[in-house]
Amino acid sequence: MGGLTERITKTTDLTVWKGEIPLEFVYTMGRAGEEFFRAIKEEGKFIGARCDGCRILYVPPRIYCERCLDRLEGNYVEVSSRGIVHTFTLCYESMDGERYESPHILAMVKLDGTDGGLVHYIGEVSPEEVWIGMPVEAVFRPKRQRKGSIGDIRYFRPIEG
Amino acid sequence: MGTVKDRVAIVGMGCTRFGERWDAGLNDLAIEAAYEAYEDAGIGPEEIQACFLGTASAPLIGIGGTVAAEALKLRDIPIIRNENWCATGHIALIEAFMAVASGLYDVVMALGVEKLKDTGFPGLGTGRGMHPVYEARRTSPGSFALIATRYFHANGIPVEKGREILARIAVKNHRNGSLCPKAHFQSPITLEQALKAPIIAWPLGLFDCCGNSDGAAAAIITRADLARSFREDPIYVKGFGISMDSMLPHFRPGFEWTSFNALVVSSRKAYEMAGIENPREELDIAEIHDCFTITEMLIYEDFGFSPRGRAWEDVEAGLFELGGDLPVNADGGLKCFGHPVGASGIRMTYEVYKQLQGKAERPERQIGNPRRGLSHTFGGPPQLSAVAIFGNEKG
Repeated sequence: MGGLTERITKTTDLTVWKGEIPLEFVYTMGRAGEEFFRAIKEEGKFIGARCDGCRILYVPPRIYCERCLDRLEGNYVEVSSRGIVHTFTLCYESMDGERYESPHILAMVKLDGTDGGLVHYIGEVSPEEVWIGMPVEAVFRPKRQRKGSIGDIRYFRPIEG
Repeated sequence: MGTVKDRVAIVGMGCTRFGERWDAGLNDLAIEAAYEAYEDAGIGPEEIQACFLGTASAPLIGIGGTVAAEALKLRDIPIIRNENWCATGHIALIEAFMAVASGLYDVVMALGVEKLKDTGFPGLGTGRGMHPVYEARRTSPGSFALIATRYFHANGIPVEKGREILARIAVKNHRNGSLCPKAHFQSPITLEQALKAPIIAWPLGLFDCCGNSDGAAAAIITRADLARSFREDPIYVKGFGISMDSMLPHFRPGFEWTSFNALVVSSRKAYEMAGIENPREELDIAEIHDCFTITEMLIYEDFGFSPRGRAWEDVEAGLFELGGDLPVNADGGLKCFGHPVGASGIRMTYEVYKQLQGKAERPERQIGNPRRGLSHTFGGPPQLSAVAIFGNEKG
């Protein structure tokens, strides 16, 4: 096929060393992130940060309001773990270019009653049944498996609207 | 605030062949681009007073400014390296404009170079660099596919129709690139091939995604009042705009996935500095960031080339084709010319520069009498937008 054929496949004329760079990293989440993931890990729920002046409920929470720059620490509130699919895609390839047998469903979920949401996977549904506006809820891993990361949410699954 | 309009000019440019350049190292690519630029400007390396270097990824451990110092022997002058994802090349270029406009230097070089293939970067893994705690890991096509799905929905475009419009953009860019000897890919494609290609992240297929390449590009920049002592046909800088946003703009209330604030703001700032009121009418060529076909489509609207929600009509009417009223990505774009991250912004400017001089390599791809051109890159997943506008005469 045109456009796919123009690659050099013969590198035998070149001297090549294969190398690997091991990457290790400690990721921290910041003050608001710490609260957010602690609530997921300990209680299996989401929290947001509310700016009363601007009437914005940030999820994930922020330590300040993006509009008025007021501090929001201390204004953390529990929010719904239900929401709707704002947009989605069906991913057929992994980051390493491996082909999935069935596509991973990735979506932006806007959480009910908030101004935010998360980009996460959708499960317990076939790809052709996903639609924009579909009501979904977060499915958390059992508490003993939770580590305080986004992976503590297995996926969002459809619910009755 | 000041301006660079008609105070700065480009007097020489170079660009390597893009592609899988196993035959050339990072330094070799830098030399290839820089020496074409020197020859074009009619100068030697001893005249360069500062160098602005853009390189994003290779090698992973970081290289500082050593590519320019080592390969180009620019050892006793300031070399300033930046990394701003896909906007890296443009930021190097704009740093060079500012350095000359400040009056500090008379002649500087902007150099973008990237050896992407050596890193094994498959083009899918931008998500590696994203915060792994906050976000479900996703590929780069996955991120942009979220935009496509929402864009079609918001504008009432059936997905099959939307995919066909995107395929037309891919066909256009492949046709344009097939006329460029230095482009990574050299073959035109058909609409049917584009639509039948494997889906990477639905609704985006293989031909909605750009090439990942090795390559380098360079520009020699000087004061506008000195420009004609280098050549008869310098290209004048008319304006620029840069806008950088949050890593996670979709956490912001009101973010809709159908428009990016950084695109809107950077283009408006550039238009204002360049004195452009109606870009659709006043620009004669634009090189914009087509990492995915949906990105090019979104930019038509965020840059004001097309009315909101109606870019598809302009695609169907052929407005952005080589022979259209506003040719976009006349050299094939990232899609077909290729995308060595740090070099791309300068490669796009190379096309605008050559077209404004009337010097496209082949007459069949020369645009008729262009006066104003724009180049643009959009980095991150995605947040960093940089725009530059050029003209072939003062005023």
